[in-house]
Amino acid sequence: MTETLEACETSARPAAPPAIAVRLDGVTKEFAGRRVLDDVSFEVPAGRGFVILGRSGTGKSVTLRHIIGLARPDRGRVFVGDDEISALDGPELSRVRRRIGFLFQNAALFDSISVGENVAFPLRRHTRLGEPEIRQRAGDKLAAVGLDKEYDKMPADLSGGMRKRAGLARALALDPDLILVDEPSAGLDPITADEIDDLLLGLKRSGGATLVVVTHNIPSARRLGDSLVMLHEGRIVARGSAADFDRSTNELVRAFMASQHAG
Amino acid sequence: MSKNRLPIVGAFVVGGLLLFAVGLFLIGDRRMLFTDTFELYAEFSRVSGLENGGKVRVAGMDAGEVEEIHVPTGPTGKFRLKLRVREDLHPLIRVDSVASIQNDGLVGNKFVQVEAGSEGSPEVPPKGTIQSREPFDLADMLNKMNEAIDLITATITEVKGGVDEAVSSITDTADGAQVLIADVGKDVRAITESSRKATDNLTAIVAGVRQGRGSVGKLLNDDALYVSARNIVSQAEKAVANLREASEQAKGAVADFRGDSGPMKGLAGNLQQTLTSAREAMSDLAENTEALKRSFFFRGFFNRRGYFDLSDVSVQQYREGALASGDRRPLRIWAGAPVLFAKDADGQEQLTDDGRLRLDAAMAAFVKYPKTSPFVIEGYAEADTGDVRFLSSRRRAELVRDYVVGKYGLDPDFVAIMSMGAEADDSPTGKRWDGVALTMFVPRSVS
Amino acid sequence: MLDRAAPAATAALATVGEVWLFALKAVRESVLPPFEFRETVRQLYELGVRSAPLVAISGLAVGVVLSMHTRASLERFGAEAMIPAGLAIALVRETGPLTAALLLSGRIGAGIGAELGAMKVTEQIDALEATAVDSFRYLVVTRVVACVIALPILTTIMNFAGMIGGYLAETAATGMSLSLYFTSAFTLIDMTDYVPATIKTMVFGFIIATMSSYLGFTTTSGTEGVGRASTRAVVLSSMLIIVSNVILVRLIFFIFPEVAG
Ligand SMILES: Nc1ncnc2c1ncn2[C@@H]1O[C@H](COP(=O)(O)OP(=O)(O)OP(=O)(O)O)[C@@H](O)[C@H]1O
Ligand SMILES: [Mg+2]
Repeated sequence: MTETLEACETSARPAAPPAIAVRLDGVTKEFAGRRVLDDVSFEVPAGRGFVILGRSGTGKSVTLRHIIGLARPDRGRVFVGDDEISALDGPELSRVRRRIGFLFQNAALFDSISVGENVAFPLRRHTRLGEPEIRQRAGDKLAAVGLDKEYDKMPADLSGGMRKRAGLARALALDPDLILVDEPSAGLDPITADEIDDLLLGLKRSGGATLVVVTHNIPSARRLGDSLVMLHEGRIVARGSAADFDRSTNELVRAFMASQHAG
Repeated sequence: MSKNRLPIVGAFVVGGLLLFAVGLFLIGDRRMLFTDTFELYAEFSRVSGLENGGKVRVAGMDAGEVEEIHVPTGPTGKFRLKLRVREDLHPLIRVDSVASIQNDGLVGNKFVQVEAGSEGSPEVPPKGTIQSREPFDLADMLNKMNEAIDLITATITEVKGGVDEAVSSITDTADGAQVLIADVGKDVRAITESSRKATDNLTAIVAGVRQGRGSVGKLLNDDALYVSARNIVSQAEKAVANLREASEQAKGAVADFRGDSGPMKGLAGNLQQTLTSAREAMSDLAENTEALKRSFFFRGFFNRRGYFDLSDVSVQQYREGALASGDRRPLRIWAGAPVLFAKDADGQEQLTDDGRLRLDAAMAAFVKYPKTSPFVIEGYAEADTGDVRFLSSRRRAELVRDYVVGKYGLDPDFVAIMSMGAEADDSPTGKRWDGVALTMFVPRSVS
Repeated sequence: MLDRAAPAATAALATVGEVWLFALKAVRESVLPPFEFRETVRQLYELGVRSAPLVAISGLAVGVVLSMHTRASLERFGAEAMIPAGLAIALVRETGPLTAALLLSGRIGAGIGAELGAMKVTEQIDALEATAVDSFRYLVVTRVVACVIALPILTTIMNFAGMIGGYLAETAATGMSLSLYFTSAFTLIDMTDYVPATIKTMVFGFIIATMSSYLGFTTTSGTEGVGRASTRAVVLSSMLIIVSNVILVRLIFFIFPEVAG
C-alpha cells in the first residue's frame, strides 16, 4: 500500500512536488515520571508554515523529535503524510525520514568530518550522484546559508551561528518535503536571521515544503507561521494565526507577542 | 580520504592472513602436512612414555613423527609404533637400521631415533618394520654392571683356586712343565690385575652414578656412552666365560696330571692358550672400563666448555686455550726430559728417581689448590717424525700422570693428559720443549 | 539496607539484559545485509591498522621479557635448547591472545566509548538517525565487525613480534641464528595450540566493540558521562575478556582434548 503510494509520488514529483501534512493526535510523553508533553494535538496542512512557541523547557524540541520519530509517544499518534511515523521502524521509518530535513537545536554536526562533508553526507547516503555533483550540491547548500567559504573547515572551527547554518544546510541537502527546524535564528544577527527566514519561506512557497519551526523570535514567527501554537508545561495553551495571537487575552501569549527580543 | 585507506586496510587484512598462514605452514611443515612421507614400523616391549605425535629422527635429523602406537594384546607382545617419515630420508633407512627410544635433553620429550643403515643393505620398503633396541634404562644398566662385577670377582676367585691347584699339581708331577708354570703364573697375575682394575672402575662408575656425580643426564641421553657401557657389560660377560673355560681346563689338567695319563703337553698348551685369550679379554675390559670412567666423569668439566671429553679437544684447540675460561687460568710448571726420564733395557723411557724428585718439587706448587681443579699433564717430545713425537710425548705424559695420581692421591676424574708434540709457545727454552708441563687450571680468585 | 540493595540489583540485572540484547542485535545485524562497507573499512583502519604499532612494540617487549624468564627457569634444568619452543608455545597459546586483547581493550575500548559517548551527548547519533541512517548499523556493527576481523590479525602480529623479541633476547645471549630459532620455536606447537587460540580472539574483539559501543550509546550527562563511558568500556571489556577466556579455554580443551595434555 505504502510502497505503491511512494512509487506514485516519485513519478509524480517533477510535475507537482507533494507536500506533507503533519498531524499529532493526543501525544503524551513522560521522561522519568515527569510529563513533558500532555495530550498535544495539532495539524499542519501540507505546504504550510507552523510555528511552535513556548518558554524554555516546555517541550518544543521534544515535540519536533516526535515528528521525525526520534522520540516515541507514550500515548497518542504522530502522522507524517499518510504514515504513522510513531509506529514505523527500520527501512519504513528511513523511507519517511529521507523526506524530512531536521535542524537540531545545537546543530549536531558530525565533528569528525568537514563542514562540507556534513552537508554531503545525506547525499552520499541517499543518492547515486557522482562525486563532482555531490560536492557541487553541498557547496550550493552551504552558499545558500552564507557559508560558501567554509566547505573544508572542521565543525569545531566554526562559530555557534555558523554551525547552526551549516546544520540547516545539511537538513536541506536532500531537498526535503518537510522541514523541521529548532530555533534556526538563535545566535544569529538580525540580518542573517532574516536571510535564513527568506530561505525557508522560499522553500515553502516555491518548493511546496511544509515548515515546522520552533522559535523565540516573534518577527520570524510572524513571517514563517501560517498558524502558531503556544506550548506551556507540555500543553497547548493557545493556537491560531499571528493575528489571532495578537488579539489573545492569554497572559503568556501577550507577553511573548509584545517582546522585542529577536533570538 | 577512504580511497587511500582501502589499500592500507587491504594490506593489513591480507598481510595478517598471510602471517597467520606462515604460522600454519611452519607448524604444518613440522607435522609434514606438505611433505612426501612414508610409513615405517618398529616394535618395542617398553615405550618409556613415548606418545603419539612424538618426534622421529633419522640419523639425528628431525624426520617425522610417531603416528600411532598399537598396544600389544598380551604381556609378551610388543608395542607396534607406526612412524611417519620424510620420503627424502628414505634412502638412509636400510633393513639393518635400528630404532631406539631416546630423551630429547634432560627434560625433553621422548623421541624415536632411527640410525642410518649400512651402505650394502637394501632400503626398507614402505610400511616395513625395522629392528629396534629397547629403551635404555639407567637402573637396568647399573644392575647389569653390578652383576658383571660380582661375576668377575667370583670367577676370579674360582679360577685362581683352579689354576693354583693345576699349577701345583704340575709342579708336583712334571719337571718339563717349568716353563709352562712360569707362563701360566704370569697370565694369572695379569688377569687378576686387569680384573681388579676393571672392577674398581665399574665400582667407581656405579658409585658415581648413585651419588649423582658425573653427568647422569648426559649418560641417559648419550648414545655413544650408552653403547660403550653396554659393550663393557657384554665384554665382561665374555671375559667371565673365558675365565670359566680356563678354570675348567685347569681342573681337567689337574685331573690328567693326577691320572698320569693323556697328552699332558696338549692340555697344558690348551690351558695356556685359553689363559692368554682370557688375559687379553680382561685387559681390554680394564682399558674400556677405564675409558668409560674417564669420559663419564670428565664430562662434567669438559662438557661445559663445549667438548664431549678431552679426547675431543684437539691439540690445536687446547693450545688456543680451550680449557681456560673466565673463572680459571692455567698454572704451568715445566720439567725437562733429561731429568725425568731414562731409557730402560727395552729402550722404553721410564721415570728416574731424580725425575720423581723433580715432580715432587713441582707438585708442591699445586697442592694448595682444590683437588677439583682440572689438571692436565702435557707431554712434549723432540723427535724426527710426527708420529714418534706424538707417541713419546703421550708416553711421557702417561708416566707422569700415573706417578702423580698414585703418589698424591689426585682424583683421576680431574686429571687428563695431552700429547703436545714438540711445539711449546711459552716454554722456558723458547718455541719448543722436550719433557712435560704440569698444568692446573686454577680458580682465578685464588692467587 | 536491603530495600536499597534490591532495586540496585534489579537495575544491574536490567542492564545485563540490555547488554545481552544489544549484543544479540549486533550479532544479527553483523551477518544480515545491508552492510556498511566503507565505514567498516574506515573502522578497520582506525581500530586495526592504527593499533598495529602498539601491538608490535608490546609484542617485542613481551617476547624479550618472556625469553629472559624462560631462560632463567630452563637453564636450571640444562634445557636451554627448549627456550624458543617454550616461549613460542606460551605466546601462541595464551600470552599473545590475552595480552593483545587486553592492550586493545585499552586502546579500542576507550576510543569507542569516548567517541560514541560524545556523539551521543552532542546528538550526533540522533542526527544520523534523522538523516535516515541506521545508527546501530553505521556505528556499532561496523566497529564490531572491524574488531572481530582485527583482533586475530593483531594477535598474530603480537605472536610474531613476541617471537622476534624472543629471538633478539636469545641471539644476544647465545648468538643463535634466526632460522634455527624459528625452526626450534615451532617444534612443540600444534595446529590445535595455534588455530583455536587465535580464533578465540574474535570473541575478545566482539566483547570489546559491543561493550564499548553499548556504553557509548547509553551515555548521559555530558562530558563527565563521556569520560565515565570511556573508563567503563576499558574496565568492563577487560574483565569480560578475562572471564570469557576461562570459558573459551575450557571449551577449547573440550573440543581438542590433546591441547590439555
Ligand atoms: N531524553 C530526555 N530525557 C529526560 N528528559 C528530557 C529528555 N528530553 C527532554 N527532556 C526534558 O523535557 C523537557 C522539555 O525539553 P525540551 O528540550 O523539549 O524543551 P524546549 O521547550 O525545547 O526548551 P528550550 O527552549 O530551552 O530548547 C525538559 O525539562 C527536559 O529536561
Ligand atoms: Mg529546545
